[in-house]
Amino acid sequence: MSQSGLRFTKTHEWVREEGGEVVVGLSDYAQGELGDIVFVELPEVGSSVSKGDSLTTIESVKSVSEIYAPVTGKVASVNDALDAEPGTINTDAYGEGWILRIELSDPGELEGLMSSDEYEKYTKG
Amino acid sequence: MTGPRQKRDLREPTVFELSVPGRRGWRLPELDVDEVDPARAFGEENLRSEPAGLPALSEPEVARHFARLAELNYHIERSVYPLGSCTMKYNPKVNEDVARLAGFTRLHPETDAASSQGALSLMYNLSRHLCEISGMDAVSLEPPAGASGELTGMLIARAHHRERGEDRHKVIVPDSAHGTNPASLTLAGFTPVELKSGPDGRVDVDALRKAVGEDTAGVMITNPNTLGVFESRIGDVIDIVHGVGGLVYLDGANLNASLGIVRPGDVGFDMMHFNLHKTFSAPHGGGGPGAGPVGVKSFLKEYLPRPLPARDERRSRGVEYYMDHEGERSIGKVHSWYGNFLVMVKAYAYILALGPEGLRRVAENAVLNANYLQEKLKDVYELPYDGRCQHEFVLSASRQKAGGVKALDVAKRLLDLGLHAPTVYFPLIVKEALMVEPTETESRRSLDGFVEAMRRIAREAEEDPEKVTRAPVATPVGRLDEVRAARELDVVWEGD
Amino acid sequence: MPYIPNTDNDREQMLREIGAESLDDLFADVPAEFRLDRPLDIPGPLSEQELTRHMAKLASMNTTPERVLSFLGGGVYDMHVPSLVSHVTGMPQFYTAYTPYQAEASQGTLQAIYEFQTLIARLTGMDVANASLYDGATAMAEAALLAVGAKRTRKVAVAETVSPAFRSVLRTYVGSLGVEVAELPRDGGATDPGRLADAADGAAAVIVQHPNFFGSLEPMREIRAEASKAGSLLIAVVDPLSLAVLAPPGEYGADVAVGEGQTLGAPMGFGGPLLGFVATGREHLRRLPGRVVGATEDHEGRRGYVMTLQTREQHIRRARATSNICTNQALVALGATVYLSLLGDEGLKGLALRVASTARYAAQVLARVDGVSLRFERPFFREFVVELPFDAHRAKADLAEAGIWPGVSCGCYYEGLENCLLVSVSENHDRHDVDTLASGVEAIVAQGRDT
Repeated sequence: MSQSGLRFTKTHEWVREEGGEVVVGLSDYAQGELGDIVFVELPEVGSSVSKGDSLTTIESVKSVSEIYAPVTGKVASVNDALDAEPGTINTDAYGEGWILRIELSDPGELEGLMSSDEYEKYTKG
Repeated sequence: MTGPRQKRDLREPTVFELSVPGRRGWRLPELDVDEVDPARAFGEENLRSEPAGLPALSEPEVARHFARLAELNYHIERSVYPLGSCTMKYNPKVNEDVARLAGFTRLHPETDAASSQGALSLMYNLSRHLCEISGMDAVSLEPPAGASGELTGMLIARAHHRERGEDRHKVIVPDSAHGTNPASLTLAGFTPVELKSGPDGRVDVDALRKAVGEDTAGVMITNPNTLGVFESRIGDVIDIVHGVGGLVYLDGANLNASLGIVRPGDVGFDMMHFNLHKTFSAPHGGGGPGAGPVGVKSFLKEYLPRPLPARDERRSRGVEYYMDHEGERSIGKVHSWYGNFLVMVKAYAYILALGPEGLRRVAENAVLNANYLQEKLKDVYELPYDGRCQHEFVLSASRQKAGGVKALDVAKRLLDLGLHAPTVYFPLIVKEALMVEPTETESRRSLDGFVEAMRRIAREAEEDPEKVTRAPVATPVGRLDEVRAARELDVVWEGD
Repeated sequence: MPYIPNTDNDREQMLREIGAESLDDLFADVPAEFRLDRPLDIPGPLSEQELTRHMAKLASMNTTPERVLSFLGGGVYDMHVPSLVSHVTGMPQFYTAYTPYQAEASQGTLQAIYEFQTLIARLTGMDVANASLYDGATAMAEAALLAVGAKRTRKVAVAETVSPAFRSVLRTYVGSLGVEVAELPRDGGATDPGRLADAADGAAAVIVQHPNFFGSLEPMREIRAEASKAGSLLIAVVDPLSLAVLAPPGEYGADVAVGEGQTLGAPMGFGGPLLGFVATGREHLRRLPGRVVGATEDHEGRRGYVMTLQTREQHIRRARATSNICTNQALVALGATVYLSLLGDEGLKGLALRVASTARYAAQVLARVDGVSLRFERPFFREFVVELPFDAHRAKADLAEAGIWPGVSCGCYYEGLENCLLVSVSENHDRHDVDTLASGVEAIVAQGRDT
């Protein structure tokens, strides 16, 4: 899946709006930096999160990355398939490699995120 | 070389695969009392329902198995370990011999003072020698490793501030610090504050001035730092931290460059740890046992773990040396007994063998050897911080990275050439870091051999990069799949 | 100079090549006011001959079981170290090797650790184990931190019957993190499961040693049940030799097993180096402190071993690591691996029964001495507590004159046990040794009565 149409955070999460929820994942750029992912610690479904909270950690062999909540809300669902196949984030960061869905409490928060082009510039700069 | 490339099906099996029921590697003397009936003695419900599944092998088979495993290992007597921050010097054989004397190995820690004067005098004098070497006033030999020493130091800092009624919860650590530093201070209940190093790789004194405050418990410094340079403004650093009432801790891993030259206590450090398995020649053991004694200035002595070896010349207790348990302000114990005593024996023997002149020569030769290597490698590898280094220096493989060859590849290719790699990817502030520390026990010939290998690899990186990226090819196994290891997590043998 | 190969000639040439005038030049960055201007005031240098003589003298000033009949125990035991164990740990390929970060050149160390992990896991009946910790005490402390991290509550409960030294280290480790340490009261020689609830309330873990400091077996199944009621994890602190006969932690549902492995072929060494171990269920694998070795393959399918899950450790995770431990007790773990490979299930069981049998004989014979009694009415493994009609320190002093060290005095650690001794029987004791102890005790008790 392509990255156009998605919005991005400065901490390399991508966000796709779907109704009252957002799908959240790690950007392709970030997965490349991290290397082969070996483990994803998924948050608890139903837990409340505030924008900026650390949601989960993603481990590669040599480093650990945090996923921060791009918006405030409640964790609606998580991608359990990542338990057995954490490497999906590497191979399909924007598609099958999605990490969780958050039920939005304030859609206005989406405004502050970067567009795909802005993110592109951000990672190149 | 650590042995030829293994044929795929000729690997050394695990002891479990070698096990054959009925084999036994040891006989017991005959029991001359009635044998217990486990069910009656312990209660049926407390007994094991089935055997643990330990392997059954004869002694010749066990001997052969471990001899074969030994052949797969690189070690210091094969060649150099130029590992920055590790001080992999030669481990004197006499130290091994004396540490095996039955008077040391078969001594129970609860032995009364009168019957352990040898051990107590050794510990007491080792403590004194470490004080003299470092300029500290008191030493605890109890921490069994450097990280434990760091934790001890941080707990001492905590106790010190608490007693003054001050709530200080931050400890400043340079971004070049060893990972155990932030880990240890966190374990002591502090919050790490990372200080970005200056452009010359040293502590940025102005940044430090801005970073300290009333909530600063202290700062952890490595000197010479992890780039191998002496913190020439260390006096200012210490003044600034003392100025706000903080304490200054020295990570003593790099003490090899200072022996007989400069003493941390004289510089102004309040406390430090030593690594007996680095500076003081005790062997690394493949990952321990080490020893990480802590030294402090007199105002912090009351917080040291107890007991401390003590001396009473007048023998008012009937003995000259004894364990002093007094000290209610002690932070407590960090080991069930007195620390890794048999490791202390080796360090003690080493200090005596070298004497004052010898220790200074250690520092001089360690620093000379490192500068020599730096000089001969800086034209083929990037040297981010040029200038006189101390006992170690950091190269960057960034030039090679541009051609697709990373520091990791250089490290693996060195294994093919019969050498061990330097420390890679540390310190974190240098990209594609290769931290090199030869130590003083390498001869010029050995150093030249290392230079030749590194220069060869630099050439290969340019002319035939695949030779480097595919390395190692001459070790018993090729590059191992760490991703697979982390995903499958096969950490115990499941077969029979 | 010992161990420094380069000659003055070498140094001269090297200095020239790097453009330095003298060795002193190399330290130009060290501020002059800090430079040491005198030689260090330490002894030496000693030649190898002088050093050897000096060390032999120091060693001879220590009294060991070679010259005295000792029943000292309490966590560290006088076991026979098989010759092969010392020879393997004395191989320079093992003892001078560095930490196996460059896996391809360290397969010997790594495979040995993998085997050690497997042995510990099997012995304790748990899923996984790590590559070793400093000693049993720090292993217990690390397990407590593991539980606190898993349960996210800042309290642990530890039995009063756990070794006092272990409890001291626990307090040091968790005290500064704001973790409350509650004590589980004992009923005589063991923990009272009926009085566990209060201390265990809100505790991340209940920690019990089995056999305990007194040598007594603990009611682990009842304790497990109570801990579950309180919602706490159960951390079992165990003696690996006892596990050849006793049900391992895995069988009674402990969540974490830790202990002191010195009894597995390591010398007492005046208290160190020792061997801590930790084993747990797979669900806690990522919380394990220290190093863990895992199996994998190279690109051509050869099986090999690497340090895995390094992201838990300090060199990657830094402040957020599961522990700060770096150097552990690898060589001692290697010794234990050789030891357990030599003994196997049958050998270890035979050894355990031998020690237990001689201990039981000792208890019987001592209890028959007039004025001496077994302090606790509980099953025990390799050591037990006797009560004398007078202070234990005095008893020790009197018996020392006869060349007998009867055991560890309990009064320094436990109130009310001033007349008690922890008598520990090792595999080196035979019937005659025990009889000698009993006669010695009989003699001093009689003396005590007469004075």
